[in-house]
Amino acid sequence: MTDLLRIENLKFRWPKAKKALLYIEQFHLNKAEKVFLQGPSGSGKSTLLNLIGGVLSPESGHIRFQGENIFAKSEAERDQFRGDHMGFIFQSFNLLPYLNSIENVCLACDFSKLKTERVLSRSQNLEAEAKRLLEALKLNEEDIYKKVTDLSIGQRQRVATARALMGSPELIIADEPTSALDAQTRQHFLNLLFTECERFQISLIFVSHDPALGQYFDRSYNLSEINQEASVGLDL
Amino acid sequence: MNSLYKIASKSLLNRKNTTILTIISIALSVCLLLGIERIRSGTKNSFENTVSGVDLIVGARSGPINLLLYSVFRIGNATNNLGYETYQKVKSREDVQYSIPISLGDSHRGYKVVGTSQNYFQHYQYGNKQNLAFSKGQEFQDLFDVVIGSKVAEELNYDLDKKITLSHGMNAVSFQQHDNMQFRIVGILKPTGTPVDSSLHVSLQAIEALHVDWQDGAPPRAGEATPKESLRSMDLTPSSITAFFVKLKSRMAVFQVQRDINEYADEAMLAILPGVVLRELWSSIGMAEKALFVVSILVFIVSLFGMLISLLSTLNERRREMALLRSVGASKPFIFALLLAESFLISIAGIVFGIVLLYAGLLSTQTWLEARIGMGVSLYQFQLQDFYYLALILVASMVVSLFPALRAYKKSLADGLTVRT
Repeated sequence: MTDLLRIENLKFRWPKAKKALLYIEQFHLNKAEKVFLQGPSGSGKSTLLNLIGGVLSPESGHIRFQGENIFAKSEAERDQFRGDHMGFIFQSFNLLPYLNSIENVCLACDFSKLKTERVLSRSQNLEAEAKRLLEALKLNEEDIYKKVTDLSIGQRQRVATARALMGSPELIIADEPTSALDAQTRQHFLNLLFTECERFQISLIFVSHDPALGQYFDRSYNLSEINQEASVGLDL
Repeated sequence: MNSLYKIASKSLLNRKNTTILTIISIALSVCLLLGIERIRSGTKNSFENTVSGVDLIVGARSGPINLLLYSVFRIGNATNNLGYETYQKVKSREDVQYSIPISLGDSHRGYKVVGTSQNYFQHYQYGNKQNLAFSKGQEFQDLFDVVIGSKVAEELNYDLDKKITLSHGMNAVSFQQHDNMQFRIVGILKPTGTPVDSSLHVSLQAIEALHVDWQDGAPPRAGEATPKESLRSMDLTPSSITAFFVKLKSRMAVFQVQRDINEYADEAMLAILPGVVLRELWSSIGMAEKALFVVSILVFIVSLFGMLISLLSTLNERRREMALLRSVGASKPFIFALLLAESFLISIAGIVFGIVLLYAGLLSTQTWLEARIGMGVSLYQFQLQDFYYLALILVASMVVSLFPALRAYKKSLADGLTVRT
């Protein structure tokens, strides 16, 4: 298996904080691998996601994505890199309320030429691909054109997943996407997410405070296992 | 750029209530700023056009503004009269095209009576070189005919053939009535928006006839007044007039004629160029103009604060929106630009709506303004200054929105991809 993401000696400290919040000596993610990260609130999960997304910069260490050190790039290059190679699914507020489902899914391509090119290489246009993804995620035609505020929470998460999948990024980062779902919907959502990730060979980092979900993933970690500073910091 | 404006416009539409209110407040300030400017220049033009088509106004030597005030605006009194013979001499100069004599000093229920000649109706011009016109009747023909202004007719509810008496002096209530002779209204002038509307016009001979029996400023004793019929057969050539308007054949001669009149040896006279003195007078009373301008600037500042508040108040609830945009690859400058783009769209919409409001307002009130207060407001002349104002509004809006844009930028920096609220 080839590395998609490799974290080495990553140390992060909030400005003015006495102690580092995160120190990860080694962590890697293989291509098409599904990794579960579990940890209580304040354990640094979101900070780690912001670091992988290139939004935060570490005090030291590096994150290599397909061999490239993310932090060797400028801030603007990191924004572009995130848009080109990653997709995000959040716990809530995953969609812009003023765009419909199709537009929300296509938003992924608004900031990435690479994703647009990938979509257009296999689909007629962006809208057709968005529709295809939404249908694959079991949203029916009627729901696709509804205002996103009229969709159920489960449906909204599926639209967000379609956006994350749009343009086949190498990595999807899901930050507690199932917290607001009931058990049945959660299972259904996970099945759909896994199916689509496997179809496009996409790696997945799935963060949750619910350890019960770990069984569905290739690897499962408690953040404290990989974060040597886990016992001290507060994730604000 | 497309994404920026697509997201900005859809985001604004999503908050349509606050967006519409902000657009309305900017539109009102645009409308007010340009409207006040239009009214200000309209008032100024109308003021300067109270009399037009006249090259010189001549009166007894006093101050130029005083002469202008009593001859054109019927405010105050002349310090002295001019000899009629002197008037005749000026009038008969070769370079004079026509002249309009006026004789003031009498009134009717507070409205000024102007003794004049037929030239007044033929040549007196106001506004944009508009001649006087009659809404009813015609010029005076008989010695005891009177032509009244539109405001006199309306306020006193007078109509043709109504008999009225004139009073000596300028007071609204006079105890010295020329009640031995009644005048018949033979004409009512159309509104001009100038002091002509508040005047009654009789012939110079009628003014003379009114004062035939007056001795040393005192009215004739009861029963001693000359009968009306006898007056008709008398020589009523006036001995003096108050002032006269002069139109020259060539404007080139205006300074020469002015100098000749001012240096006339037999009688102390003053000739003024009405346009110049009108502008002088306007500049001295132009504080109101500045006050109006300041008010409109204040209204604009209030509307800017309205926009600032509406952007700032939604900023906190939009942090997740910013984080979401960041997650799909939007940079911090994009978030900054998004807020600026929203302000830009609001400002442009406000400006366009404001201009529409202004023109709708001007279109619907133009005739009324012209007729009632004589203000000629130009409709379609969008002036360079208006563009400056609009550019200033746009720039000021953008500058003000820098503050929420910077806040959004900083919040986006602090929040990253995940917002904890």
